[in-house]
Amino acid sequence: MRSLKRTRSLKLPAKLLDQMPRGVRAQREIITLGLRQWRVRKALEKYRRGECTLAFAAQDAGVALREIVPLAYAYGLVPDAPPFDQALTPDEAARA
Amino acid sequence: MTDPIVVSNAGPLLALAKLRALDLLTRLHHIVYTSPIVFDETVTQGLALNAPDALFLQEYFARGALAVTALQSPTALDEPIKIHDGERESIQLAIQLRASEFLIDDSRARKIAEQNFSARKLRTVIRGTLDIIYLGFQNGLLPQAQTIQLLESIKIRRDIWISAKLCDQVLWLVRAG
Repeated sequence: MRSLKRTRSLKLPAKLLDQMPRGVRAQREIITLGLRQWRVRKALEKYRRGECTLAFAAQDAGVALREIVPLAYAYGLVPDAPPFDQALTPDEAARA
Repeated sequence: MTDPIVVSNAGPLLALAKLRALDLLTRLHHIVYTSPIVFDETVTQGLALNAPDALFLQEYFARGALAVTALQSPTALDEPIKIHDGERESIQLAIQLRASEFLIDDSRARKIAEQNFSARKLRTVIRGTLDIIYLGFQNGLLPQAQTIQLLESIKIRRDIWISAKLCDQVLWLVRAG
């Protein structure tokens, strides 16, 4: 099934437009890649603001958890570090 | 005595599979339950991305060491922040099965799990990948050198979402013996 295509006009700065390749396929690829990156950035900003978990950010951006982890590190985020206080009592260790 | 019921979210499964340490989990627990979304996230999506860890996980599911369990009647959760569908389903599954242990790494999702277990008076112990590794060490399943190697590896890996600071805390405990 062919995907539905729509037309939208967009005014771009001449400098940016000059860098655009001529081919429609390449232009579509640029929009697809840019949109993906934009969605990831927006989702990671939500995570940075403490509004969601990283897995939700992945879901929000439309990427897999596996994909967003390296992107989050590259974006300068680090996992929260709660105190390590679980599983340390001898009772718990014995129950495992 | 019945086996404790253990439910896992995706994070610990992915981390242990990436570290080639899934055996540790199966040696600590007879069977670990996951929700259908977690299976999809860890195996189906992983295979689509050609992730080697997805192959390991698929094998553990096929062997029965990991088992998918569907939710019967999901209970609504108190969610102060937005969580992934898989995280929600995992917490709901732990509630449904009245799990004795719940495995999850993301500290924010962990807090939500704690709140919801506590609201239902469940005494489910919440653990993460580092707890599993530390338990393996405490129970003699992992020698000290291998435990240190695993923890140091997590610290530098950029495909595992676990705090390096937290790794340092556990490393200190392991080195102290």
